[in-house]
Amino acid sequence: MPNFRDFAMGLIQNNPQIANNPQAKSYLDVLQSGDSARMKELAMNICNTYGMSTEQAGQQAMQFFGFGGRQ
Amino acid sequence: MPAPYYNPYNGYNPNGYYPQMPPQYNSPQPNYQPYTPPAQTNPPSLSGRMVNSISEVTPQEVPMNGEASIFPQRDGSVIFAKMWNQDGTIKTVRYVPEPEGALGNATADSKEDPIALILGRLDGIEKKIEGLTNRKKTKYDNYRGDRPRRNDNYSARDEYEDSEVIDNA
Repeated sequence: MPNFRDFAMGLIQNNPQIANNPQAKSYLDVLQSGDSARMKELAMNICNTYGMSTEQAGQQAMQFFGFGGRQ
Repeated sequence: MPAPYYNPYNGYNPNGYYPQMPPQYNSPQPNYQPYTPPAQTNPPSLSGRMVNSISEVTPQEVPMNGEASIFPQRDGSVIFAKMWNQDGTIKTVRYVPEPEGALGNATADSKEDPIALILGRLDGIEKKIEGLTNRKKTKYDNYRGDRPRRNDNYSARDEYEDSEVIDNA
């Protein structure tokens, strides 16, 4: 059975905009490492930098992918 | 069918012109080369803009491609560079211009003649060497030029023992 996570990672890695982006590659490395604490810290830092909470970011991501209910 | 050409000279034409052959001109033939456009290289561009204060810069203005965005303040007092860190935070570097006096000294240093600089250093080395060599002189050094020819029994050790150390310092 194909792993959805691997499938998504393959899609992201094959994107040339990400493959040629050192910053995005470093974020991908964190994702691939499986270190959940580091991933959480990274996500919180990005959310704080954009001035939003992780809950707000999650809601926006769900809306972007069409999974969440509209506010 | 055209009438056969009659040649009274039996194949030889004194004018050098043979009607069977098309006339040949030495005009240069145009040599067309397929046009290949020069490879386009995008000039390196800086991201950023002029700002009144750094607080008006939003995170969206900082590209997430590892490059820094430059935000010069309008009054020219400071330039900010912002870039994303590996941990998801934004690093801000502040560049402040040097005072005018410091800039003047830097240009004065750069205008100094490099040859004069080297000669000055050579003089210093020369003086140091002179100081080292003149500190102690032996009788051997004084007689170096007009030293009498030694006989075979006079060894280098004898010569060394004969010399006495004199202090010129």
